[in-house]
Amino acid sequence: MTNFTVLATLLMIGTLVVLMYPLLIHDETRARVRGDVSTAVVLALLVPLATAALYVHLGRPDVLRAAARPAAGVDAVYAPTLDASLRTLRERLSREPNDARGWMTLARAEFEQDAIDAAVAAYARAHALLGDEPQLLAEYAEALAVQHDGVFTATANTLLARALFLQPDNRHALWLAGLAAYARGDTATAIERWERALAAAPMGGAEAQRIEAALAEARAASAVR
Amino acid sequence: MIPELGHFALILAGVVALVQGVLPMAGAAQQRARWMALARPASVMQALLVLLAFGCLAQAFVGNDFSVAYVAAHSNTRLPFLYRIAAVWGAHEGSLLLWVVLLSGCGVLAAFTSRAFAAPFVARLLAVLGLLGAGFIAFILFTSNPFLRLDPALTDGRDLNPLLQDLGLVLHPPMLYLGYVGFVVAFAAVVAALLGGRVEAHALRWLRTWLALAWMALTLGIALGSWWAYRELGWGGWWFWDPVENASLLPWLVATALLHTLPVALKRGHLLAWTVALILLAFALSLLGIFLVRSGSLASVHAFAADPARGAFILALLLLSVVPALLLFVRRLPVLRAPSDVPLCARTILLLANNGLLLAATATVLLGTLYPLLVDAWGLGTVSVGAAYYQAVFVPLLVPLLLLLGVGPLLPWGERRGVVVLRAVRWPMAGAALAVWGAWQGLASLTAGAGFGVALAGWIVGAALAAVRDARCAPAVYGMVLAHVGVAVFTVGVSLSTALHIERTARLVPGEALTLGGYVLSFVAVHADAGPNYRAQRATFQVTGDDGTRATLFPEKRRYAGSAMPMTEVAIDARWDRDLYLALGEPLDAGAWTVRAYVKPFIRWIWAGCLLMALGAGAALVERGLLAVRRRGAIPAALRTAVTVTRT
Repeated sequence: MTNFTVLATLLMIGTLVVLMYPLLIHDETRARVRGDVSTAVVLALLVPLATAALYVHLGRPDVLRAAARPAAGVDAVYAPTLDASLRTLRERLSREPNDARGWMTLARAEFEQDAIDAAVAAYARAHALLGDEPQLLAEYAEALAVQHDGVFTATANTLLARALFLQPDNRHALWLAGLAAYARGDTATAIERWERALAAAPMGGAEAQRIEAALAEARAASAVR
Repeated sequence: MIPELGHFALILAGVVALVQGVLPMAGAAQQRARWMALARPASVMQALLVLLAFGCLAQAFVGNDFSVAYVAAHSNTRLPFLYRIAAVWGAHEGSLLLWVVLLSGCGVLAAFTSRAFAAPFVARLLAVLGLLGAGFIAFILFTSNPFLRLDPALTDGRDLNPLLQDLGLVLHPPMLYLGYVGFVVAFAAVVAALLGGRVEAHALRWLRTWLALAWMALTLGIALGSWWAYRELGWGGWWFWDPVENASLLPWLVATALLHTLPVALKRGHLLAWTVALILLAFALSLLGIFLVRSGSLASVHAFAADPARGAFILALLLLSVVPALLLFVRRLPVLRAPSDVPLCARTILLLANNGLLLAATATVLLGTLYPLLVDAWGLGTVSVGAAYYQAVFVPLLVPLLLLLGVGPLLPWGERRGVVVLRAVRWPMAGAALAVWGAWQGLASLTAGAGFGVALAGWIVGAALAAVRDARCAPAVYGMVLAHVGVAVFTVGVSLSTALHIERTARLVPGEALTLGGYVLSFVAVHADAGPNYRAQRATFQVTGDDGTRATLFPEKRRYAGSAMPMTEVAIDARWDRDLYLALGEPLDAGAWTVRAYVKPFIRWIWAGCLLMALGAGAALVERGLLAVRRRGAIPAALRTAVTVTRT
């Protein structure tokens, strides 16, 4: 038996004892009411059955078994971790350097991992292979801006302009172009870009909220000026 | 293994809660003592199991177990320890688990403070709590399970929302939930009493304790949330009329009305049906709040869950608990009728007016919160209801309420002549005059709005002090006085910080300075900085003021790992009579930054007032609270068997 089974069984037995006590033994009112054996039996059957059925339905006993291996084996257990799959992707791209989608995937993953320099390099490769694709241009610009501690460089601004020329309602590009304008102090442009981004974003989602918050700040700032 | 154990414990807790909900309820109906006796041990067991599940989830956060999807989504190895604990309730799934922990904990407290009551009442009370507990645990397990696993696991997690990495988050949800849960217990007690066909005086007294506790927690919870928003959102506002904020304000308003009618029901035997209706309403509004936040029908900083199944589940829970309770209430109305021989006194009438105003205020907030949602849901376009609506509709209702607050406490119970009102107002009038004179002398400028706010505050304090004199040290009065003074302090804070605040936004390069209302803020430098899980641009400002202020402020712009939007970390120079609030905006070209600065007079008084209100409720709690109820002898034997409430 695994540790989990032992502990879960003990928990169940403890619970049943607590529930049985008032039914069979303790007589609170001292009125000499007879113990309720039938209810006790029903509970002793139903509670474990219902709990076990629900746990089998909802729980992950298989992950439990895996996790019970020695701690040193954790990486082996959870084999393809994000790092490992990134490594595989990089190896594959070194063999097939013309896989544009692969570079794009790698760039996104590196960006998520906060490996900004690697992300920028991967976006550059993807850009070289795919050419001007609006979403790629926007993400590339974002990575460049993050690389420069949030400052939108001339390259980043050109990329954004290109993205918006090709696809005027690209939300990602609109959002970033708004950020860039706001950073320049050009609140009016920022508001205009964000309003367009908001119109294109799904209603009520996290993205729309983020844009609304930014818009509120920009409007407040422009009202003050 | 630990997350699986937590999952198992939570499932078992749900099953135990169901047993607690069904058998004692049936036992009370069929007079089966053994089934009724099951309620107490089952509630203890349920609480222990839920606590174990919560502990297991906390352990997964502390131990960085990223095989748990919830942990992987809201924590990472660089997150500081305190926030790893707070992250347990930092998002939807875990915060519901916290709710269930508090609900079952309060269930245990209810089980052990209700020893003086008849067995069927206790059985029904705990059974209702058990059913609600089972409903919420089912909600967690089937729609919002924090124990779901990732296979394979991640080596590191994402991040807790940077906005939530603040002391305010650590404290705000538990306090708020404690308030809500208190109303759930009150609801359970009322349903139990109605099922039994009688509402006894000592049950009402017990309820008063619970409501004071819940109200205190809710007040602190709301104040903490406001304080957090003020410091963390970077706009210097303390209340945004955000639908979720409103969702916490609604039960607070109703509970405030309740705190004022319960003494009438206890002392005079009037308004019993009304009091019961208010308790049902407070409960329904608490659940409505959860529905609004959890269903994804709201767009707000708080709405993390956008899942229609969740909304449907909570709505079903709301209807299944409130509709039967309302039907039961209507059936039992004859039992709740007041004794006809006791006429209403002036104080009771004023308390009724207080209730009317508070409920009207509740209705305006409810309308402003729900109307845009309904319009949107029915596809009639979008309506935006903002601060302007509340200022026009909500605030005018508060003014007569504050005026009443200066008269009510001075009227003797049982006095029926209207002339006493005229005699009573001399104290509040003196207080108002004194306050306006003081503000006139002490403040550099005073607008009409600010003067009116100060006058209202003086009015209330004058009445509170006179009430202390009249009471001749009756301890029950002190809690009320403290809470009312809290309202006055709050009023001063709101009116002065609104009327007299100054703000400026400027473009500055290091070396330049900004002047703002007698303060000079010199921008010294910006340099890069790094925290455990963020990088920051940290600015240094030297502040000098005509009033002798010398301070150094360090506002920051932070970028957290895994979040694209930069975060504003404001710097505040706080003093009892004003805050100097400085936020670093965006970097501009040539090393310049946008900088926003505010002077906010008396803003701390807003939260100080809330704290005083909560302390007032706490004082009432200590004085007649949990201890008094537990002593059996404290309740006259005749009352224990009373069919309805009579004069005590």
